[in-house]
Amino acid sequence: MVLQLLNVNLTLGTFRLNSVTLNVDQQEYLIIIGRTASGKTTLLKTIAGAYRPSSGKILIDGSDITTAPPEKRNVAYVSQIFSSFDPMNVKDNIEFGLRSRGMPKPERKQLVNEIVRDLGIEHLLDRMPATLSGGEQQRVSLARALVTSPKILLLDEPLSMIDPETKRSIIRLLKAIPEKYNIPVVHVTHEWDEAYTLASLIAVIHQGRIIEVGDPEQIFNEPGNYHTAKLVGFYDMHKGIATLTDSGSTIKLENGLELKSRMKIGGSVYACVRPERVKLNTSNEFNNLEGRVVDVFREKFGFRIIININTIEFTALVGSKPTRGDVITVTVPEDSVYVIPTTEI
Amino acid sequence: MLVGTPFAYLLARSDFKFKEFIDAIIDIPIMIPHVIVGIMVVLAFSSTYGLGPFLQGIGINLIDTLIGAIITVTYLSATYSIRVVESSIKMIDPDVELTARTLGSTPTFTFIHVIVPRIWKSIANGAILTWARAVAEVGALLVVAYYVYFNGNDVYPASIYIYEGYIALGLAGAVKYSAALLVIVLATFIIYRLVLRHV
Repeated sequence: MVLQLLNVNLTLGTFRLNSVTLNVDQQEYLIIIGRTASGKTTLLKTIAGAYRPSSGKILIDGSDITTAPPEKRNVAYVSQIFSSFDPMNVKDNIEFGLRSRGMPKPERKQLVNEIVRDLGIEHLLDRMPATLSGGEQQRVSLARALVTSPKILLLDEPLSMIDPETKRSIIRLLKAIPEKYNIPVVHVTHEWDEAYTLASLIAVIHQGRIIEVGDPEQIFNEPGNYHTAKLVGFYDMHKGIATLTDSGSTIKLENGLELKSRMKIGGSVYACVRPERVKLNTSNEFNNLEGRVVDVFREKFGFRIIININTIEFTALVGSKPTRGDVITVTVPEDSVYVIPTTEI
Repeated sequence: MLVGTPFAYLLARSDFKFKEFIDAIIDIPIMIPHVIVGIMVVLAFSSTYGLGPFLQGIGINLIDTLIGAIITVTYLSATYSIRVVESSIKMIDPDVELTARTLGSTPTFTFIHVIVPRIWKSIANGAILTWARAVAEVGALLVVAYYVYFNGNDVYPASIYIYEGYIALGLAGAVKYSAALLVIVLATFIIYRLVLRHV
């Protein structure tokens, strides 16, 4: 285990990191995902050494670094804003960490040459960071971090300031890091797509607490928690009472509407539905819902529509554009109604 | 520069007990007439009050001495330097420092190689403003160092000498010294701006 967080607590003003426990293996790509102000960046900076936990331990390779200053941790932090060291050029930026450690110039030169070749940025060495594009700045930040051979790479929303086309190439680069450099990566984001694409392990953080840890497929398909489900794309989560049936359960929603699910969970629950699983104009034995279209939004693959069904709104992704006010029937297949007990909040 | 820059960094980056109190003390020269600051200095350091007897016991006298005049105008003028540098440090995202630190850089190395290159113009601006403010100081010096006994001579701060000239000889006596001081200050500022433009 390269990185271990054991019951880490931290109070910053009114915000609190609450008993955070995490384990990160060599070559793991851990993504900590959470909404804005959930504490993901605070957690990352606590690992980096910006904040000292009030209790708990942080171990790297078994050594307790809880109170060690950032420069003694051998982790490399790459911030969301790239954090170029102006007015140094790219070469000086990349060799900064080596220079601060007192490495002789010939060795520095050799390591810088290797890393810039690896990341395809040899041509940028004499440029000033301010003249670089977002993608180039991100590569320079990564080179500056990786050249110091850190034990862990910490990435704070590394794709948030990059255009979609560049993002694709940076994603390939990031995904290769754990294996190529034999280090774990801890990356925080609020973007589910990013997490699903890159992670080998996902930790969901909510209000300073890690509420769920699992592999991407598990978190995506079977979120164990209301907040996780919201993050991974369940747009509609309606409260109701579930009664067990032979084939699963029937959930009576607060407006009297009944939904059938294949999941055998009874009691007070949330019936969770992904918009892409809601079908238009299909006839099914159960879960056919008639309602009025109240909003239509263009999406990459069609239209996202909001349908008001007896005061409760459902979202669907459809190929053809309906008009606001249309009365339509949608079907939610029983195996697409995911049920979470209301106790799992 | 030597006192104000580290102090500005501390104020910009740290939260500590009594920070608001220290902030207010730094702003005193802006808030009250400087003659009152002079009286405070005399109360604190004259031979009969405050720390004065103790300092005199170890051979330090701050009233009507060069060191006393320097300390007084440094305190009165440093506000400008501290505030200018503090604002420019606050404009640097703390993530930049954290990034440098995790790469292995100590706080001092980070300050010298990452922070100073970004704020040196503010340090220079603060320094010249502080110098100009010190040159212009009258109120506190009237009380603390009306004349300074230095190297066997009585030395007057320029502003007090001009004031003396005006009182003793009238406008004609004060104009030539005023003009000389004006030329020196103006020339210094023009040269400073020209140098800054080419750096």
